[in-house]
Amino acid sequence: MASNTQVRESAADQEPLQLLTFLLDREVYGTDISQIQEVLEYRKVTPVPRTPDFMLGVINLRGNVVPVVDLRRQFGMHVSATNVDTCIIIVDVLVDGEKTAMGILADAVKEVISLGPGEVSPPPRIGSRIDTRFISGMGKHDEEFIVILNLPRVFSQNEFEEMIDSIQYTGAPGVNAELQSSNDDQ
Amino acid sequence: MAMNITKLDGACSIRLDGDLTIFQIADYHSQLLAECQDAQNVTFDLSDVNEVDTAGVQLLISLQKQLNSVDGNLLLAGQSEQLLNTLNAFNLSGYFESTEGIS
Amino acid sequence: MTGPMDTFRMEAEEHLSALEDSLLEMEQTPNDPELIALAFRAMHTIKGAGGMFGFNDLSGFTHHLETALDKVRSGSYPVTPELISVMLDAKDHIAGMLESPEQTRVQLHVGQSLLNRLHKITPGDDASHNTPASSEESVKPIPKKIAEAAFRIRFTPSANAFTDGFDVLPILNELHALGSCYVTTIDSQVPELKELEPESCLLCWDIILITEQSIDAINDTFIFVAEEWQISIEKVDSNLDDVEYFDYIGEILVNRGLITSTQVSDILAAKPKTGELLQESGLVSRSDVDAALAEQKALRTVKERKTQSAQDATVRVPAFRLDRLMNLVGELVIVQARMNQLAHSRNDEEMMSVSEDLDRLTIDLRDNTFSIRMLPIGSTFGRFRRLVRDLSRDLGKEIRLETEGAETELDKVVIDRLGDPLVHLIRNSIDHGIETPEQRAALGKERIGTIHLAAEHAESHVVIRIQDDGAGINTDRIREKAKERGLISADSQLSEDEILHLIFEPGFSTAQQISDVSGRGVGMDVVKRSIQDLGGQVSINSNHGKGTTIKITLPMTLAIIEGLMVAVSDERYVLPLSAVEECIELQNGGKSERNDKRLVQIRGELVPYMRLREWFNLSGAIPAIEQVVITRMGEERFGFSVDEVIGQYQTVIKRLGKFYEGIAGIAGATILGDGSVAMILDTVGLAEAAESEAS
Repeated sequence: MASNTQVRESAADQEPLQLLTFLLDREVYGTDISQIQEVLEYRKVTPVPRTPDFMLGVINLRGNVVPVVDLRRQFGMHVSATNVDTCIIIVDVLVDGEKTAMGILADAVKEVISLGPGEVSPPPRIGSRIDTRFISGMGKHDEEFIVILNLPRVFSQNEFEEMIDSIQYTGAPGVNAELQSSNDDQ
Repeated sequence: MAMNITKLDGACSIRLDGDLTIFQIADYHSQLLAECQDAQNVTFDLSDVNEVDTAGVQLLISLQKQLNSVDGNLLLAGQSEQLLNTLNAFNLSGYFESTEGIS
Repeated sequence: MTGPMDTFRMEAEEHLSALEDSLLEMEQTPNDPELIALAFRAMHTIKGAGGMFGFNDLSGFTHHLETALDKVRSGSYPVTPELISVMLDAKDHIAGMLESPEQTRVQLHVGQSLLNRLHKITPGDDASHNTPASSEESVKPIPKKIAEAAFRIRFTPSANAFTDGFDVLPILNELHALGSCYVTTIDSQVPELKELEPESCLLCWDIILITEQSIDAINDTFIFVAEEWQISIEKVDSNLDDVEYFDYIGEILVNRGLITSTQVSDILAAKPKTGELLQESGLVSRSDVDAALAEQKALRTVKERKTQSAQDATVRVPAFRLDRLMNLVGELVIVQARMNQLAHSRNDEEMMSVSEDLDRLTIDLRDNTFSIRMLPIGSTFGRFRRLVRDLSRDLGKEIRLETEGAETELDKVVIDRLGDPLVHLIRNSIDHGIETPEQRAALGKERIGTIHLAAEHAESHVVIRIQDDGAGINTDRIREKAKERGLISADSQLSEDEILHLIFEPGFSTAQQISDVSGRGVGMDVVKRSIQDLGGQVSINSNHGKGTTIKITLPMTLAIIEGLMVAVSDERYVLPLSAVEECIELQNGGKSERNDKRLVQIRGELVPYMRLREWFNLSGAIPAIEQVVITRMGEERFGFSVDEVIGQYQTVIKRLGKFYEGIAGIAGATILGDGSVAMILDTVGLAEAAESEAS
């Protein structure tokens, strides 16, 4: 699984990398399409009480309860209200060695693009908005930079526990209420 | 390890402790012949019998036949677990009349 | 996916537990040939399968055990406690060997020492206690399994068989071990007592054996007597579907060469009821007819079994497929609920009637699907029998384990997760409950202590009781300890029952209790917690000096829950109905004491409650009239105030998965009729969280 997200560097491996690109707070992010199950229109997310705010809650995906994460909150970005473009990208990731479906809230989904080996560069050391540990590479397409996410890393238990520990139950109330009201806009 | 035979009005009551195997069979056979030759009804208490082998079973069958021929009756009063197992293996558990409802 | 190797392991494990069961029972009834045969068969099968899958060490090791069991079976060695001990240890060793075809050095040593022990008990074992791998026999090719076939075995022992030291019983036992055996003992040659030569063998046998083994295996049974005895073994038919052919008793007798077919037809011409007539005519004796009847019966049984096996056949299914099926059924239930809602809201009579039919089918399908996951709880009892045996030995106690209700069915998941708590409780009974035989004798009790393990269905629950007739619990000592540890204040007025339940408090079972056996850091609080995680409850009842009873109440399945649905703000929540005691109305927030500790008065009693809206940080104004759902866990009551109580709701429980694992107060989620998700609340977890926050 993890190898899917590694940007293939060996020249022998000539297959182009296919990415689904999406917007998080006006910036373009991408993820290997082999990890993507489907893209859903935004729907009401049922909050799981007393959890950190970036863990939005769960949705019903054909009878399965699937957690949804707001990467914008996790990465400390600006959170704009949900609108018609908002969607939930369902990805398959390994959480503790268990293949798990997860939803990622995105401001909008852009397109599927193909990148040749020369069009992907290693993650930058500095200057990125999010922790470079979560980036597996940078792509360039139509003069636009795409941050390719290392999703297994993003969802790995360690990272999460760290995150949860640092957040604890501090400001949960307001955020949930805000989410609630933004849902009402729908 | 012995066979106790008590006679009462042509009925014979026998109690056997220990084994009923080829090692005792000749002995028991002659005892039975001596004591129960003319008996019509024999009650055989085998609740404490230990090992029973094929020779033992054969003796019981023969005794049964003997009594049948004089319209008599052999009743097994009490059957030890070993005896039951042996009779089961031979599929003879219903062969003898017994005081216990097992057969 | 399951490969043949996994199947081998699974099956080997089943055989091992069969072996263990029969060994343990053998301890009670050492001379039951059935049990010995059972143990032998289990060992034999493991050996064979092990060889087939390249577990040569395992197959070599089991070979010696098999040989020893074979000798026990034939009566060469008695069943002794030592033998059973070695066999049980060997069983554990085999379980370890199943991990990998290659054995570690340690394992090889352990195996050797077990074989040495075995050799001491059954010395006759032709020096084959050498390293198993070197033994030639251990790599004996495994005979190929062939389809079940029926054999007719007739044998007449030589007259001097008994005096030569041969008995028929061991042969019959061996045949019994090969398959299903229908024995007819023919006594026609046995004379009346006075003519009997008691030391000559005059009986002969006629046996139908239905077995998967080859004719060679049957021949082997007679290997020592083949020269002297008259033996005939023949296959009755290779194709059991042709059984019709044998359905005529006359024909069977003809086949046996006892009469000719002309003789039969002569009689047949006269009247039906062939068997009786043939017998009356004196052509055949009664036992000959009986033997033929037995054959007829046996062949019918085979035929029946053949048709039945199609029905009784079990199929191994990987657990994830079952889970998927459960999910689908769960979804169907939800979609059905939506359709029902729709039909009603449109007031469409036709649609409603279709929906009703569909409803019935769906419920049926759901119940059937759930039943697939149900297993009898007895499958775990063997493990406890072993535990009681081993531990009571170590502690020098005499304990009998009685079980009841082994057939009670529970969700497999529940059974799996119930094992550890039950082990702990039984350990406790053995360690702290039952006294030593001397103490018991001094107290005028029976020397042997009893642990009674019972399971039964009670409505939608399963009740498990662990009862011992040991020393019981000294509540004074608990009170002392609880004070020492600050669990209760010095002047607290607790009832006996409340005192007893203190042992479930975290931090109660401590050093003073620790022994080899229990108190390995796992206390009763862990037991309580695991049972609660399964949606169950534990309670305890003890009579000082007389014994202790622990009662566990569990839901039959973790997959569905009878719930009470409530609404708070825009959210729906489901509370387990089993915990709900009553619902009451509350006007204007009731007695709002301090902000963090709310109390509501019910018939003069103050019960703490939490406002879910506040606890969950939900938006919106609190309605003027709130509903408070009062729940009960043991003696404790706790309320949850909600906006509205919607009603009873049976629902499929969805696990929240790794991502949301271990969130206090949430037991899972469920999908509602409209497709949205609602949280299932863990009332105990919530109450505890609220209390710990308040203090």
